[in-house]
This record gives sequence, C-alpha cells and structure tokens, in this order.
Amino acid sequence: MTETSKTPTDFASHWMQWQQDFWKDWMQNASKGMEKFTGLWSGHNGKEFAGWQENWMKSFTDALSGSVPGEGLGADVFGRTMEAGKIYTDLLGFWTKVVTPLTQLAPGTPLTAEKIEEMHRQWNEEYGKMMEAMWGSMPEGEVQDTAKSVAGLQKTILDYMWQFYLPLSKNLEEVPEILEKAAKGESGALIEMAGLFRRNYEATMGKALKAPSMGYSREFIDNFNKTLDAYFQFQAAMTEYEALFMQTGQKASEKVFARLSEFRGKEVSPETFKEFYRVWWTINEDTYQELFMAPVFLNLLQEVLRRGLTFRKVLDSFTDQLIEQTNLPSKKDMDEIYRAIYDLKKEIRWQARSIRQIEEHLGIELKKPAPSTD
Amino acid sequence: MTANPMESMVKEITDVQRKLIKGYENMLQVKDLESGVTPRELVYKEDKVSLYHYEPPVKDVHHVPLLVSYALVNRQYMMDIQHDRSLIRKLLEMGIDMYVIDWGYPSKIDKYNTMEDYIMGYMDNIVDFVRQRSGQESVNLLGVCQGGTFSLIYSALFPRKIKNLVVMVAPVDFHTKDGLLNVWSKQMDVDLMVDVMGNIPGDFMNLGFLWLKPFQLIIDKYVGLLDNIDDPYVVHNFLRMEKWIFDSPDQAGETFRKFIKDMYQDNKLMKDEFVLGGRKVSLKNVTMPVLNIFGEQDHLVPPSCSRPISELVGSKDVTTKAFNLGHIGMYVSSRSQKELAPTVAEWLKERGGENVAPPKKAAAKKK
Repeated sequence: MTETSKTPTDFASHWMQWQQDFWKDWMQNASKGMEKFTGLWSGHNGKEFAGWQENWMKSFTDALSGSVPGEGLGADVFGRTMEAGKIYTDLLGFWTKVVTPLTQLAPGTPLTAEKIEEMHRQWNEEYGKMMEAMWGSMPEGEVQDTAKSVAGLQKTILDYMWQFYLPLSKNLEEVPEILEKAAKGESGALIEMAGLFRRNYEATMGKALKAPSMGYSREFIDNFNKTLDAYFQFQAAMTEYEALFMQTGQKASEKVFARLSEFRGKEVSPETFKEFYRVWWTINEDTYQELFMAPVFLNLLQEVLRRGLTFRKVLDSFTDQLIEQTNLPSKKDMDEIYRAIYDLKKEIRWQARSIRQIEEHLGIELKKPAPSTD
Repeated sequence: MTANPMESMVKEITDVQRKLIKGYENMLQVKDLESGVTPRELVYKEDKVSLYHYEPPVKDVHHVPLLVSYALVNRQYMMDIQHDRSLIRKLLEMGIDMYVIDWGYPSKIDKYNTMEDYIMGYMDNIVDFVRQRSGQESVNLLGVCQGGTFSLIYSALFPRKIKNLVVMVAPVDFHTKDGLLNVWSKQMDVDLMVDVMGNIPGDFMNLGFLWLKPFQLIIDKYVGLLDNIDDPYVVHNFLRMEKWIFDSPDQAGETFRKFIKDMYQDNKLMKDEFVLGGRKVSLKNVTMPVLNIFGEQDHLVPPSCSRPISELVGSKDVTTKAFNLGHIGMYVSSRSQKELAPTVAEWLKERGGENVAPPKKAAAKKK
C-alpha cells in the first residue's frame, strides 16, 4: 500500500523568495542592455553569463535542497537526485565558463603554445574544483561512518594532537616543494603528499602513541593511545586512498580535454552540453573502471579496510573497558549471549528434525502446539 | 552558432527547474511503496525466514510447484516489483504454482548463522514443507543470483527432493576476471571484517555495488530521471526501483565469511572441493534437468561466471539460455516478461507431467 503525505507548506514560501531573487537578478542584468548577450560567447560577456548562470543554479539548488524534509522514500530519492543534479549543474557551469569559450573561438584563430597552456591551466583549475565538489557528495559507507562515530572524541583528539604539533610541523618543510609540483600539474604530487603525511606521523605522533605508559591509569591510557593510533593510521590510509581518486580524476580530465576539439565550432545549445556531459561521464566511468582493476587500487582498498576495521576493533575493546565499570553488558558479553542462543536454536532444529524422522519411521504424529503465523 | 544562444540555454534551465518542482511534489508525497505487488499468503515461518505462496489466477495449474530461492543480498520482491513488470505474475499466469522464500533481515542475534543453517536448515525445511503441502515427492527449484548458487548446492546434497532445477544469473566460477566483485573480493580480509563487524552491513554491500559503475549509478541515472521527473508514473516506478536497490539486508557474518572464502577466494564449488556441514558438495550430483539462464550484459554476475554450470552439473538434460539483458533487466525488462517467463514456464511444463486444479489453501506453519 502506498503511504502519502502532503508536500510541506514551507516550500511555497521558499520557492517564492527564490523566484523573487531570481527575477530581481535577471532585471538588473537585463537593464544593462540585452546587446551584451548577443555576443554572448566572446570575450568577457561569456564569463559574465557563466557567473550569472552559476549563481542562478546555486540559488535554485540551495532553495530546493534546503527544504527537503528528511524522511521517507520520496525524500531520500529526491535528495539523491538533487545531489546528482548539483553535479550536473556544476558541469554545466564548468561548460559555460571554460569549455564553451574555447570551442567558440572564431575559425582561423591561431592557437599559440601560450594560448593552449592558458586554456589548459584554466581547465585544470576549474575541473579540479568541480571534481572536489563531486567526490564530496559520494556516499561514504561503513568505513567512514565508523570514523564519524567517534566524532565526540575529536576535540580530545585535537587537544592531544597539539602537543605533537611542533615536531610535526618541522617535518612538513617538504610541503611547499610538493605543492609547487602539484601546481605545475604533476599528478604524482598528490600521492607524494599523502605519503609524506604518513611518514611524518610515524616519525612523530605515531612513535609517542605506541610507547608504553606508566602509573595508576596505565591500562586506560595505553588503550586510549592505541585507539588514537589506529584512528590516525586509518586517516593516513584514507588520505592515500583519496589522493589516488583525485589523481584518477585528473587523468580523466586530461582525456576529456583531449576530446575538446570535437566540440570546436559546434553551436552553443543544450544538446551540445548534453553531448559534452555524455563524453565527460563515460570517460570518467572508463578511467575509474581501469583504476578499480589496478593492483595499486586493490592494495589501497585492502589497506583502508584493514586500517578502518582495526580502528573499530581497538575502539570496541576500549569501549568494552569503559563499560566494564558499569552494569551494562559489553560487546563481548552480548557476543556470548548471541552464541548461546544460536547453539540452542540449532539444537532445537536438530531435535525437531529427529522427531519428524521418528514420526515418519513409526507412522505416527505426535501432538504439537497449534501453528500460528505471528 | 544560434543568433541568441542564451535564449536556448535559459529555456533549458527553466525547463529543468519546472520539472524539478513538479518532481519534488510527486516524490515527496511518497513515504513508502509496497514490497511486491501480487497477492500472496504467508504459509511458513522459521526464525526470520518466511515462505510465501502465490496462487495462479488460472484454472490449469502445473502440478509440481516452483520454489524460488532469491539471494541473501537484496530482496526477493525485485521479481514482483510492479504490475506490468513482474516475473512472478507472468509465471503465475502461465499456470505455475509458486512459493517464494523471503530470507528476512538478519540482526545481530543471527551473526552466527552459517551457510549450513541456510541451506541444510531453513531451505531443506522449506523444501520438505512444500513437498508435504503439495503432495509431491519432489519440487521444482528456481535459484536466483546467490540463491542460484545455494540452489545448486542444495540440489547436489538432496537431489531426490528436486524434480527440475532452474538457475538464473547464478555465479559458480568466481575466478573470472571480468567481474569487479570477483577481483575486489579475492584479497578481502574477510576474517577481520566478520570478527569486527559481526554481520556485514547492507549499506557496505550497497556501496560496493554502486562503485561497480559509479558515474552511471550515482549521477547519470538521476540526471536521466530529470527528463521525466514531472511524470508521476515514471517517478513511481523509479521510486520502486530505488527502494529495492537500497533495501539491502545485513549479511549474517558467518555465512558471509564462508561464502567469500570458499567461493570468491578459493572457488571451491568450481574446483569440486566444496564441503558443507561435513558433506562434500559435488555438482556432479545435480542429476535432475537443469535450465541455466544468464544475462549477456550482466555486470554483477558476468556470463563467464554462470556459463560453466552447464558443464559442471551431472545432469544429462541441460538447457542453456543467454538473454541480451543486464542483471536487473532479467527480472524487470519487457523482454524478460515476454521471453524469459515463457521460457521458464514451458521448460518446466515439458518436464513435469499433467496439470491439476489450483492447490487448496492450508494453514500457515511456524517452526
């Protein structure tokens, strides 16, 4: 049976406000003279339109997503559709801002090395922003949820980190050099950066957290340190994993850029954008498929899983230690109960089957409780 | 270049926003949708596992009932997702008397449930129940996806209880390289996963499935919806599918451990080395007629994973049917309704004897 509810009333006011803002914006632009838009795709006018369009889409998606009520199948799916819609409009923004001006250069316009370099730079800059927005919207899954589950610990963790800040910052001297490489478009720089964080961590905080402590609350502090260590190990693995994702996005970006010539001279229309969108997502799909099959990804995936699970294991053990001081059952206690119930159910199933076989063998039927469906 | 390109772009974005508003209204009205559309009766229940009986709406009913075993991953109502896209409904209309297993949603208390419990426990009890209820010595079994692998194992262990076996998109060779799931699972530290998590969360499984085609499944699918988001019929059907996709039960830890280790990592069924409950499971013991169906476009269980079944079973009556469909299309596509359902029904009838009147209703049973 379908359950329904009324559309929330606050949406209408949200929507009206947005419409008002939109038309106000529109009138302001239009009053500057429509002639501005007739040469839309040349020079700075194209960029102005792109900026306006970007703001327009942003205000629209914000208006909608801001009022989506949190529960129910429809709301969930609408939320997912809006996430995808945002990526789509980000791509549309990228297209109007970067791709269209490049493809609409007048025939015969010479493309010098400097011009191509400038195009490439702008492409990378904007593409990076868009992809960052996109991966940020991906579902995060159990492993990252696990990390989030200790969000309450974060302040403590940050405080704890502070005392290790100095040695850590000393080791970060290499960062500017790596950032420079990244700015030059060296795709390996991101991986290098991720590796640097891991090495620094191992050399500074990691060492301290693994060192045994002493005194009255030794066991507690040791377990706390182990939990922190596992958390940072997990974060370090996640950083490397995410860096590989970004690097792959960059690789896909180059492939899309290489296909730009296909769009040169095509008219600016929704169809052309849709064509560009299709090229964009299929190239990305193929590039990420290659990554997912690659040994480097498989190893990192296993590493992230292993680190995430180890963190959860240590955290469970630490939590059990805290719970032992209370009257609440620990995870270990509950596991014992689950095991006992499982064994009992198995025993009953075996006995029921044996009784059935004996009944069949003897040709009798023992009296049983009336069957029920509840 | 058009005279005023801005006009067409503004029209495009205003069209999109108009549709979004309409879609917003259509979608938010739906809090939930039914799980399966064909009337059914609960006839058996054991722990969280249920068995439903579907009565054929025709006079001539095939006398051997068909028991359907779906995968533990995702839910069986994909086969009955909407009135005009229901494999179950089609088979019923063709006179097939059907029983469908609902494996339920395992919770923490079920973390120790093993493959042995599922196959030699729940499944065997259900087969016995259907045999008894229908008065048949043996019944027909249709195993889907992972449920197909389970059905192969069951049929190898209890061949006398199964008259005909139909396996649909069922994996048996887990070491082919054209399936990402095969590649990802091979190195997975499944012991650590199960030891730490207990049950494997459905969300975790879902994430894996989405990442098989991230751009298509996370972006393009929804962007495609934007074209028709103002059409309530399209939106409702889309919502049904979305409900199913994200309706992923947690996986009982011990079952997951054995399935990943013995199948994905060691490929034991394929190598004739699989043991369950202390009994060797050899597919050579699958001697009843077998219909092996798979999708040529299946990215979850690629054809290469299912095709070897036809060679591995000991049956002398094996039919192999490949359809140019993907994994989901096997249940819901119009071709599935037009071609796949009749293929299964006719194949069963050719191997089943005479038709009988519809079965009488019997009281439900709870173990």
